[in-house]
Amino acid sequence: MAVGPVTRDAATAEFFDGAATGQFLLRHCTACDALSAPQAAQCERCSAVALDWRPASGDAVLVSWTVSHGKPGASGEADRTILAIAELAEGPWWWSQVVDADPARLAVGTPLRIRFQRHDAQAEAVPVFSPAVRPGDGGV
Amino acid sequence: MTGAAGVAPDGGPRSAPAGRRPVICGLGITELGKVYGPTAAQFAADAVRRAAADAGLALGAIDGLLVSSGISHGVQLDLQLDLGLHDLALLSEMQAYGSTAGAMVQVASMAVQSGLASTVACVWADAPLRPGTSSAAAYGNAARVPSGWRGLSAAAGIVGANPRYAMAARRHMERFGTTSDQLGTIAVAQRDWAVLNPLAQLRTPITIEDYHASRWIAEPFRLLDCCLVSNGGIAVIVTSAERAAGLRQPPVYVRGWAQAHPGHSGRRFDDFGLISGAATAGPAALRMADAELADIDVVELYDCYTYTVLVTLEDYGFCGKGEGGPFAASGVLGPEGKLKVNTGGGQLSAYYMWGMTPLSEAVIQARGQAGQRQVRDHQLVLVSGNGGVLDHHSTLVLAAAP
Repeated sequence: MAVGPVTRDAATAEFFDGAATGQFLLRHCTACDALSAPQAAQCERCSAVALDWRPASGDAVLVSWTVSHGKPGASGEADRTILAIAELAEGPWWWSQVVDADPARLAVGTPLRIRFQRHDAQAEAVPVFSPAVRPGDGGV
Repeated sequence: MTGAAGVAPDGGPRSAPAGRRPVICGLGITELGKVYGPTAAQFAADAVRRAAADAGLALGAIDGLLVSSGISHGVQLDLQLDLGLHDLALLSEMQAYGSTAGAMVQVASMAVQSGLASTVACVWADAPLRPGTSSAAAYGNAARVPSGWRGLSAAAGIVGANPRYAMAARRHMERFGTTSDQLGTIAVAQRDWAVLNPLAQLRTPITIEDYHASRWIAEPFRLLDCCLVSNGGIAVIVTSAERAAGLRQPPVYVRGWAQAHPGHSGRRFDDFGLISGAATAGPAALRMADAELADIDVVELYDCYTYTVLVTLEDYGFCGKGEGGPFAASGVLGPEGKLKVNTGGGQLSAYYMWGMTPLSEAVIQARGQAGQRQVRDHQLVLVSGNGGVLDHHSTLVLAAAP
């Protein structure tokens, strides 16, 4: 399933600016240097509110997943979408779709990479996951 | 029974003078299910009127009103006007999703015990179903382009509770080896109870084969793992033991209560799917009630999914952590089982009134009015509420005697 449209608001404007350049931005605490989830309003470690943004590496591992089935259509086939929670290499978790994956080959800890997809050329970029291709294994 | 020191815990209802102890004296249930026409507010007013009539109270005796609805906020403070209630001593809208019904009874109980109000109606109603629209679409809002952080999830395809709870259940399965068969036994056991419940929407027995044959919703959930969607409303009235004494129904004492709000929604939570707020709220409510788990006769659990029943049974301590699957599959559930859980069929098979589903069945059982499905021993009833994605929890301990 292609990603849907989404509009930015004041809280997400900088995140979407980063997404547009292929960066997944995390909140960075200027006081204690900890990285927090992008939607954090204060540092998740020290509660400081002075936060700037830092790009994540884009590496993640699978925490949990579901294959979501749409209502069966006229053909009797339902749309299937893999949805997942992933743990970013920096620690925070993120919820999104997994693309280009065989659900039968997913497992807790499966390495993932963040990619970005748009609903259409004018739409905001949305982070999704795909199985990380490790040298020599041809991917999942 | 009494606690180790033989003294009721401070602040709980048993530390109050006997006449001040909170009691559920009225229960009102509207028509439920695919009932089209009334708005949520109209269902709510109907439920309160029915609860007052059930108690044998005039509407004007109500001096407190707590209102709640689903996610549409269809019931608001102007319900007071619809019911012609003047000079209320307590009025508020409450929202902690599926834990709200239990939380409303807690606030009402504290209000009665403190003297803030004497007779508090707690009502929940919703009307998400429309004719010709599927249950899946009932809570949908497809026309609007989503925005902000929530919009990002929606754009990625994560919409509603199904995929989020499915990922909670998957985590439990991966960590503890919980199986689909085990989840299925919960669906089958609850349908067996629903067969005995004239209020239930689904009263045809199902087998584990039917469960496995039902279509996928969000793996590991099949259709028969998921709750119904219903229109309707349910109200309860909380008053003092003293006032309840002369009323129509057997009083149901609110003996203990607690809440838990872990506070990790949409953020990293290493226990996600593994442990819910029931793990802290359950023991706290039992302490307040001066009771132990072994004293509980009837268990009414919030069952948005089969999995929610399983994790709540573990968290309350009916079995060890991670053992919910084998426990559920051991034959302990269902009308012939040793543990009387979701005796009306719950939200999976009876009706989806959020936290009012377990609460209403708990009141019916505690009163001894459950007919064919009545549990013989019904002195103590444990009731859970669960909201968000295991983000909000309420526990009540109800009793047939003070």
